[in-house]
Amino acid sequence: MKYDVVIGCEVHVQLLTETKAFCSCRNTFGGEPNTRLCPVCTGLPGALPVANQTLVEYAVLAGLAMNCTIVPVTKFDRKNYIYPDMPKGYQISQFDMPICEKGFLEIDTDGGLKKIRIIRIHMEEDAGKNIHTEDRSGLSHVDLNRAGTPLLEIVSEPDIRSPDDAVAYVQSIKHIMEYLKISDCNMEEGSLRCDANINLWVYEGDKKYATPIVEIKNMNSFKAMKAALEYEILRQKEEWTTKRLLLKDVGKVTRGYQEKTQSTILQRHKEESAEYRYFPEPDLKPILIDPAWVESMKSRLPELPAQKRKRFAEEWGLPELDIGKLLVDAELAHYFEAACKEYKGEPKKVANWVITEIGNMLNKESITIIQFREKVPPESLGELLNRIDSGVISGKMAKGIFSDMWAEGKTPEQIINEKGLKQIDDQESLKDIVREVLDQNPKTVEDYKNGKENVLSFLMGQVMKATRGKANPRLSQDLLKELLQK
Amino acid sequence: MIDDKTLDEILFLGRLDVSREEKEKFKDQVGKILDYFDLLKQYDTTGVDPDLGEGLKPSVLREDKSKVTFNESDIETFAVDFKRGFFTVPRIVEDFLENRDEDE
Repeated sequence: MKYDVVIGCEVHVQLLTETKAFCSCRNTFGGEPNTRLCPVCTGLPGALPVANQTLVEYAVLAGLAMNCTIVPVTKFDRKNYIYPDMPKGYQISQFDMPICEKGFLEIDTDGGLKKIRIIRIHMEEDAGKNIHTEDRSGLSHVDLNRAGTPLLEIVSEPDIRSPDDAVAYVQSIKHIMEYLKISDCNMEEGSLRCDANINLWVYEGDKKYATPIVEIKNMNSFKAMKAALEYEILRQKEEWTTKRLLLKDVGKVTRGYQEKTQSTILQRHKEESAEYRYFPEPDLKPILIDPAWVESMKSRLPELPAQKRKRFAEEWGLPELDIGKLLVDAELAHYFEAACKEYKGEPKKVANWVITEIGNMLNKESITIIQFREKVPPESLGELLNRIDSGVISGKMAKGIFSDMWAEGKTPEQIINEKGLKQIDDQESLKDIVREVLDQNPKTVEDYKNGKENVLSFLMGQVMKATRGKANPRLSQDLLKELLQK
Repeated sequence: MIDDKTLDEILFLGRLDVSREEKEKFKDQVGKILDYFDLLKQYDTTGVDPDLGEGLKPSVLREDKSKVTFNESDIETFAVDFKRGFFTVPRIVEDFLENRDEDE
């Protein structure tokens, strides 16, 4: 069976504004239920919405970062549906005049960089939450704290060709949002939500058949997303073989991902937009966007992952693999760059330390780079590496000091001084130690002289033992060889 | 003018129960509104942007500064049923619950 997988994503991100989209209630996660409400977000008659200027700013920043056109005139529309989590009976969204159009993202895949086109980015408000009780009261509870939370919905073209690429695409959006600091994109808390549309293009002879499009919901992690899409490909292949259903006959259906069974189940046939009875929101005037203002917003864009990737490769000659690992987390990339500023040597060495030593530490301690940074600022890492280069400490000692820096929250210098960890690189005192080691191991010296040069590492070990690891390794080796020649 | 059948449909969609007298009154009032639209239809509005007519200003945006508004007792004054911090509503029937689109 010859086929292509066709995936398009709808990503919702909650924005980190101080207030909700259309009223002045605080916009934060969680807290006591129904404590951030006003006449607007509870849908009381006569209450009028006013759009949050930061929502518009963030939408423009996101659009610019995703290479979109920012339209000169945009408006809000009502998307009508009846459910207790939306007491107005409609969601304020954008229908035919979204704020951003026609963008693209480049994602990093196994097959190199791939371009995914973005159809549109629009602004809308989130709904409240229904809590369905299990008791016999026959009641549901409603918490409207989330109602009115500003969202961006980012809709891609169906340019994605595999579950891995879909994950890479959504991760790339997450990274951009984090670099822009406009959303924390926490999938568990629901500040990043993704629905995927997936179907197959099956090739038979010179004919191409499209299977029904399935919209998958309820994917609450990147792992779930990959599993859901992989399951759906198998299911659609099976369905094609047994039923030969076509997109043009069946249309689009919604299926929900079930974590327990790692499968998807049918939810319903998808509503067409007509069923939402979209019409322009009469309580909000269209927003005129001044092109000069958009230009000025460009200066507010930080360096984005794609640009950093290029710079790390071109200016610093870092390997692709390292760059990928550093860019995964905006804060990790910041940390790396700050450490490079302090360090006088090659950035590659800093990259190694950040990826391996810090990476291990974060895993072991289950902490974020932000928490790590509070105790070990990037300048300290740079300083530690400078000490290795100047021969004050050995690489091995540095690792011990690094652990202490985290445990005690001290600078490398403080630890080196307190613990007397300075490397012994005074030739005369080291020579005495080496001589002593040779005197204590006459048989090994004999072996060396008979051509067994590999005993050198044993002798090095003895020197390190005698100095508790503080001997300058290169100098010790030179001295060993020199004295063994005699 | 509006016929009885159309008026009945509008009342049904609006979930409104009215008496016979009220119905006659509404029939007359709704009829007048519709007649007024007939009058408006006589004007040629080609090329006039419905959102940005003359004298209408574009949207004013709000500064992103929070204000505290409702406290619990405020909510109790208008909520039909508010218990232990939650609005309570009749349970959404199972079937609908399962078919619910979470991210609408």
